[in-house]
Amino acid sequence: MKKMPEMLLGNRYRILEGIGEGGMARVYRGMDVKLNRPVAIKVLYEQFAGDPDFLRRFKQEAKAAAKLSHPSIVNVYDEGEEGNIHYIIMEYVDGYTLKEVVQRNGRLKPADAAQIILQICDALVHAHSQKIIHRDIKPQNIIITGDGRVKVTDFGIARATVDATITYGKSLLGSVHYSSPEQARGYCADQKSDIYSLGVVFYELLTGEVPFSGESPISIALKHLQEDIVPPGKLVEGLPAELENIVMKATHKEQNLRYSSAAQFRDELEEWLKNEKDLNYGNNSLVKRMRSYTLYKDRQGFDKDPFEEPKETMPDKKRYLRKKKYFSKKILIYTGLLVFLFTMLFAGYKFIHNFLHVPEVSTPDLQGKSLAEAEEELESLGLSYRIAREEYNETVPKDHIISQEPPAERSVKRGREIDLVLSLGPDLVEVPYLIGSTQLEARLMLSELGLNMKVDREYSDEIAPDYVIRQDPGKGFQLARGEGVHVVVSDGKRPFSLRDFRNWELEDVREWLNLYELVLRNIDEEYSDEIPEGRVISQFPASGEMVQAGDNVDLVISKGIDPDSYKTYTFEIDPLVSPGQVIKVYVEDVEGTKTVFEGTYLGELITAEGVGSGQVVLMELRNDEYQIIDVLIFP
Amino acid sequence: MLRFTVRSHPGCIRDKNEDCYFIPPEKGPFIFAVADGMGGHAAGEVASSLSIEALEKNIARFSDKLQSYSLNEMKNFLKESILKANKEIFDIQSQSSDLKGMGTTFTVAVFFHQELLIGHIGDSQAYLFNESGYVQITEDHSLVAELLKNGEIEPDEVYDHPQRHLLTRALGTSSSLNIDFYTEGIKPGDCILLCTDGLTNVLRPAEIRDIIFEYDYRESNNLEKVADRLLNKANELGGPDNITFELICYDKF
Ligand SMILES: Nc1ncnc2c1ncn2[C@@H]1O[C@H](COP(=O)(O)OP(=O)(O)O)[C@@H](O)[C@H]1O
Ligand SMILES: [Mg+2]
Repeated sequence: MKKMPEMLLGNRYRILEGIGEGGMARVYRGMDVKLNRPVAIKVLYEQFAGDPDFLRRFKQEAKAAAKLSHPSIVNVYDEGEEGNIHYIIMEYVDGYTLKEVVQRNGRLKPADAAQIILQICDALVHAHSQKIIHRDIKPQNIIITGDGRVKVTDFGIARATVDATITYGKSLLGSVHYSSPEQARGYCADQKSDIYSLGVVFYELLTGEVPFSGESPISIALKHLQEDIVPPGKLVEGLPAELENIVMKATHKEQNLRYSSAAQFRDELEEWLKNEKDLNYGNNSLVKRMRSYTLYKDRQGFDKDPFEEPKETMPDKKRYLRKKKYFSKKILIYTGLLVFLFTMLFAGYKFIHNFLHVPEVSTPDLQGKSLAEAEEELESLGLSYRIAREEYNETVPKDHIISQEPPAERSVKRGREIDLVLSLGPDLVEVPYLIGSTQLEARLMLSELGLNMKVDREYSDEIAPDYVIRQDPGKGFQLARGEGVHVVVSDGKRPFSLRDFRNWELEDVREWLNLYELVLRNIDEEYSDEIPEGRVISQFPASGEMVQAGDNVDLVISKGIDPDSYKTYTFEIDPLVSPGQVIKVYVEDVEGTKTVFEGTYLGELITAEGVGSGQVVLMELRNDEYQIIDVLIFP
Repeated sequence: MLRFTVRSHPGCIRDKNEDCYFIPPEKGPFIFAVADGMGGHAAGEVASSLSIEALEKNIARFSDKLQSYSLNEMKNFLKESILKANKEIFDIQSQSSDLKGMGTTFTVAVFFHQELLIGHIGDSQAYLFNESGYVQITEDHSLVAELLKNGEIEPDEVYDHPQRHLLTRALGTSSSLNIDFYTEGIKPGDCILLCTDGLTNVLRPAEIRDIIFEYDYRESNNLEKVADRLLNKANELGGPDNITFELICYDKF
């Protein structure tokens, strides 16, 4: 990241270090020296700073955003310019963007995802009440702090860019993973657009994937317009139906079939969360578990706890309580009286009987029952129990009975203690972070944990071949030994067919290979009768073979014609000049020029040898000058 | 025989001309190109001129071979020239913060015996005009064109769509590039127009055709008149953007 000069912006803001780059600005951590508090400084790229129209809108939006004040919205403090530097001063949020969290972790647990979305809903409710539309809700604009709070940045700022291009000229269609259909169609965003985008973010948190992906932004934009979203429950087994409904409603293509307001979205989430909490979470602090999300970055893993869902036996208890309520009060009173009478009658008899002999009972079959059920059953028979040991078991759920001693249907004396073996549930291990490891490393890590790996491969322009691109489930999820993690491994860049280099100059091939990111490995040289020296005779892989960036290419280059293959031609020359004349005979062939005869011709036969190809030249001295009188070309 | 003429003008609103063009060197081959830069500040100008320079360099480099190329080799040559330009522009913009985000449209045409070969990225355009009418050879790589093609907007929404400046593809904006190629048979009497959207945003193809035929471009000097008329007309209509176009006539042998 480019370093900014040491200086105070607006006489009070010091730039400390770069923390991110976005679509139109670079973000720095900084210090407000006047108030002595950390701030985030967003500095517009120079290219925008030249456009007064853009700057005006940018400032206008920054001012509007500055009016928002909400715990889930990043505060905008100030805005200004210093020479050519245009900046916004914001609250500094120490944390990770939701994008980073999902990238590192994969999908989140439904309740955690819901909690995060709930807070963003809160932020939207506030902003919408001030008539400010965000327009660019996406995980990159949502920061989660170390203490689990959610902060939304960039309110309304997207508008400045959108409007600017109208007067400012072309720009490239950017990322549209979170754009609503109406925005994809190119028209204005409103509150409902924010709701749609938030629905998409929710989808991603729940499934680890955005609903629409494709080769290019335009193909994604068209999918937002034309394709139905695959319900998140189809991707994640056991996803609560209520959450799926919420996502589907928020991401409805028809604006008026979505939630009518962020508040309505919020309310449904809250409703679900309330039930969910009662059911599963008890008062386990969300903040505590959220903190762990933001710990991933350190890569040393995180506390084991935060992800483990507290397993309580709440559901059973609730059902039990509910049943009881069916008895009306009256009935309760009558039965109470009756029971009392019987007990009194019976007690006398029982007292004496017990005194005489301890009765025997038949042991119940407790296998597979929950500890609570077993306890109840044993108690009613007058038996007690002891937990002999606890062990992992794949089939018997946690806190249920695996086996008992003595077994079922044995006669035992009342008061006898039954030994129980209690299940710890399946032997859960925590899924490790595999992204960025090689396939082999990932396999090793998983096999060490007793987990299986299912591998799919896909082409990737960013990730080197054999490295893990994605995983599901993500780090931190608990799986039983023997279960599998699905990883997608890079197959390198998309292959293409290699062209024919025959007869190319080596330099041209080099340049071409460079352009297509292929590596020139071996160059062999061979003689060739057909291909001129220095050009390509053959190649490996052959032309038409599929290759990928990074592949090797071998070439065979011509050394010209093989000297050993040259034929030697012998000529017997009768110069046909009168003896006494001075003549010269020389041969030009592939080996050079050789004079065969020079001097006075006495009538003999002259023998000449030529190699490969060339000519024999016969010259006669006339007036002190050699003149060519015959040329013989061979072969 | 080919006759051609070119015009490039900043228009009436902008003070800079970020368009660039290429016309064939004297000894051939018959290669033409237009490029319309994008990116704030000076970035657009840099990108469009880099793209044209890259083409020029590659032509110079292979000049002795180009004459003997087959159509397929010519296509490969174009592809490589464009990929080189893309790489060069992308490398520069990823290293320079002033030039971040720059890119350019690029439409290049080669006249090859009786064929016209076109390589194309972005929303500059190639049209073919003749007596029987006109056809836009290239497909725009723009949001609006895609929406229209997919039935999401109506044809009459195209010209004042709020996001008609959004491109879906450009040269120099990413390391990989997908180039469209077109081959058209041409016959004597055909007139090819390569232009940036500064012309076509104000003049509809039918109006352009009328101007071309008003002056009968087949008469040798009229091609210049046609070009002047087109440029003036575009500027009379406001000239909101840079205007660059090349008119190429394919005459009888
Ligand atoms: N107020 C802030 N406090 C801390 N970090 C921030 C703040 N705002 C933005 N960032 C960081 O800077 C990065 C770039 O931000 P931004 O320019 O808004 O990007 P984009 O254009 O993708 O929205 C963010 O991904 C985030 O990591
Ligand atoms: Mg942002």
